[in-house]
Amino acid sequence: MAPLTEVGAPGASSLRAGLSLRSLSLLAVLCIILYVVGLTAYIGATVAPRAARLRAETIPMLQLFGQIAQRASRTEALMVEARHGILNEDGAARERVRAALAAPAAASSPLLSHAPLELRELLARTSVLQAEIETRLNESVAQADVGRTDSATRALAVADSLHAEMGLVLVSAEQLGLRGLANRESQLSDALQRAVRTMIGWMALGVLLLIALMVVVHRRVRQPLRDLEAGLDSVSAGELNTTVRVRRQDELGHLASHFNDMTGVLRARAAEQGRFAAAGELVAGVAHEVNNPLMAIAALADTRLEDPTLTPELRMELGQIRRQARRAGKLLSGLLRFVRAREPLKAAVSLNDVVRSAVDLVSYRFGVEEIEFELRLDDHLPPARGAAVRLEQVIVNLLSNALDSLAHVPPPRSLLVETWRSGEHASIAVTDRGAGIAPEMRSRLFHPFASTKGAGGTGLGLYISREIIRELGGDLVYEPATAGARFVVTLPLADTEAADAIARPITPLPPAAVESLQGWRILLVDDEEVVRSPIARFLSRRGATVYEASDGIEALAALDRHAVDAIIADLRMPRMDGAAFCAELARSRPGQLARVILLSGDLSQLQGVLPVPAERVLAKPVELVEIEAAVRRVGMG
Amino acid sequence: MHTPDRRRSLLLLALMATACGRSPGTAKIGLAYSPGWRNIEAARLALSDLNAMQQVHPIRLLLDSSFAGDSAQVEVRRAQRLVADPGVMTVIGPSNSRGALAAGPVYTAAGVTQINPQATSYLLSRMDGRTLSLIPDDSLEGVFIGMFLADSLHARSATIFFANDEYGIGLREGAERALSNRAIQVTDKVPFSEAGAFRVLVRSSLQRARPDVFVIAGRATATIEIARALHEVVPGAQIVVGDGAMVPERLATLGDSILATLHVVSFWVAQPGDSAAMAFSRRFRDALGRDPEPADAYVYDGIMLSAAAIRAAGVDRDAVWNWLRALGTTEPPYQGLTGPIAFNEPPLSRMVMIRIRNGHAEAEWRR
Repeated sequence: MAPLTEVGAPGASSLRAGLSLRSLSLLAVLCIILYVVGLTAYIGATVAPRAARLRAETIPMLQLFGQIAQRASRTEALMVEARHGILNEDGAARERVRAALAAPAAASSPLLSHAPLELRELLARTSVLQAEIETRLNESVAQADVGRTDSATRALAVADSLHAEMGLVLVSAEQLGLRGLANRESQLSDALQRAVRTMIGWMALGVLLLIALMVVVHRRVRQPLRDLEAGLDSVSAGELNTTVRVRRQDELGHLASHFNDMTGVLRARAAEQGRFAAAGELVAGVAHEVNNPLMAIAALADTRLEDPTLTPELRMELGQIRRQARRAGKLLSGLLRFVRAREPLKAAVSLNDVVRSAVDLVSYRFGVEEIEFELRLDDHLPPARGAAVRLEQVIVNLLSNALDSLAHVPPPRSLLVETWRSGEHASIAVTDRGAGIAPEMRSRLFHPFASTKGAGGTGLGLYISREIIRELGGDLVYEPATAGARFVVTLPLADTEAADAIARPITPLPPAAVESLQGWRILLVDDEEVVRSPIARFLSRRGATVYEASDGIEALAALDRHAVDAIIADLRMPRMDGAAFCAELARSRPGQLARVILLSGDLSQLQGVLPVPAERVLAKPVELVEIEAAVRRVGMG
Repeated sequence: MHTPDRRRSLLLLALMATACGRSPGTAKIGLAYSPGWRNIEAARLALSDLNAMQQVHPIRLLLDSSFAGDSAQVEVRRAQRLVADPGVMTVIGPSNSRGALAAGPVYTAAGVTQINPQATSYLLSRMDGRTLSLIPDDSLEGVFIGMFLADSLHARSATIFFANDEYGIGLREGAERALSNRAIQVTDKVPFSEAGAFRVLVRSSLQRARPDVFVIAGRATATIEIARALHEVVPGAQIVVGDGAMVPERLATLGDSILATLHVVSFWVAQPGDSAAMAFSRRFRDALGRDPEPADAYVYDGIMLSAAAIRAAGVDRDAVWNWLRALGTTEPPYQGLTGPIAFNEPPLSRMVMIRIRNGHAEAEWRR
């Protein structure tokens, strides 16, 4: 096995424990929240109160100044009106002054409670002066009303004097207020500058935190993810000997561990499949090599059985030879189909046929191991949706397990295979009365490498079997039995159309007609003389003229010399095999290709690409009468 | 202002010390009044009563009379000095609305509760600070006067003479609204100052209108002058006077003919059936030779109420404020000399219209 390749930078092999990624994420979020809250709180605690205070103090102050200006303006107007009313003895003007003084607006005093502390004294003084002016004006008007013009004029003069004083006080208040505002604005400006400096500090801290966060993310997330990605790339490129370095015991570390477990399973499965494929190749090769002798044996026996002078005993023995040769050939065909056949993933499949084929492959063990085998097939079972050979592989696996289990119990050993329909599903159950499955093993039964056979088993059989069944849309489950074990395969039924289109096997040709082949010219091409001769002799005795060739090149040469009605060619030959021969015919003599009948001990070597129609391909060993029937169909066609 | 002379005069006069000494936990009740404070005897009586009680927290009265006068400027400085003492939990005073309005924010900023026994400006209740008034504001007093004119004197017209300050203006506005609501015509509104030419103002006004009733919203001096001037021209004129002039001994100088038609708003008068009030009056008379004025009773109540708050809430400005605020809600009203004290409803029922007879105040009309 190739050495394992670890993805990820080399480093300390010991795992580092620490915060999980979830905790790390929460910590990062917490840091961000603290950062934002801290920043906001700082601004809120430094600049905002000063700004709010400035605003809170400025607006009332502006309102206050507006009110003062309004009152000063009103007082000025009253002074003018009163002077006019008194000096010009204008009663109407005096009445207007009196009405204005009694109006509600005149009563509104400055809101001392809202004034800044430093202004409050001046404003209170202003308020007093204002009240005094208004009172004096009122008195002045009253003096004029009663004809005391001199007193009225004196009162007016006092009001004038008070008005002048109020003007000075207002100017002072205004200057003081402006100074206060300027002072607060300066404080706000200082606070803003400090805030800006601190903000820069916060920003720098934020950048450092961000860098630290990026480093942590790089180490804790990005590197492990990169290792995983590289591992996945490696695996997808076919390199199953890949492991990912587990850096920490966190979520990504667990992911890397699972990845390594997964590649381990894939490696084991690939090794198993590799062995299986190699065995298939071997079986295919052996089958071909064995099929030709079997064909020769059967053909020779057929030829000898044509002799009417044979004694009954010899005839019986030759018949036995022919039957056993054909039985061996059938077994080989099943093996070849099992290991080599390719098929669509989901077709309509007869589960009864699948069960029969699988049973055929393992039935040799029944007698030897004293198995009482029972087959209960539902004759009305509709086709299921699946893949015949893969299902056969699963059933063979289940049967093999059952037989292995039965080997550990004394006879009688019973094995039951049954099929039935349940709603829209078809099921197969394999039940044995063997040792059964230990309870502690049941939960891991379908896990990779879970085996009850010790070193004798790979632990992949049931795992792969269930994967196959699930890929086909069904399921494989274990059902505990009172004694032994019961495995049930369930598959969905095939659609009606698909069921009608069940691929039919190459059916045997009808028996040959009794009339002779007189006048037929047949070219027989096979590299093995022991196969070729009995066929040639049989066809000759049937009246045909037979030309023989040992490979495709000789056959082409023979066709240059002779016109033929049919060509019987082996598929596997030296120099030019049957497929190449057909290709050459298609190129140089397209008319002759329709007369070709192919013989083969291993049809799977064609990989599904037949150079001639399927009904003109005969699988060895084949009976001579089947060859004759095929020749007649070609000749007539 | 802090000249050496001034500093000398700015001594914090702990005039009255309790028997409990000067421990750091001593609570103090500030008194924001100028030298010559007329109601100081009420404070002495309160101190005497406090000393007679078993005190949980030692309580002292701290009178800051280091500033003369009662201007806004003076009251602000007085407030700054008082709140600088951490032992001061509440401050009683000052006596005028303008000073109370100016000093209120200083007390509020320091967390000290300001209790007003005399200031009546409606602006005090709008300050949104830690100021509590024991007496109705001047607008409520105006409403009370309006009710009296309508319900008792059945007047159809009135002229209002008012001091041109927060008190007078507030009272005038309140009375004007109340009279208007009762279809009583306000024939003239005459502002005046304390040193005004009252006779001229009266004559001028009377030239314009002769109402059924005259309302005077001012202090005692101006009120007496205006009342005399009115009677010179309109003998027997009905005159209604605001609480600002409620100094019976001075009003008594008007003579019986004027007093016969003079009605004075008062926030308190000792009723013969009220034993506590009568005892207080007796003690007061014994000490000072005169009847207690409403301001005396309210100063006494303000001090005793503060002491109750300190006893209940401890030496903690916030706790004292919260306890006082809770009176009438989560705490039962405080039973004072002037009646139940709570701050959750307008104390209209505290007002009473009095007449001055033989130099003494007598209740004439209540709502």
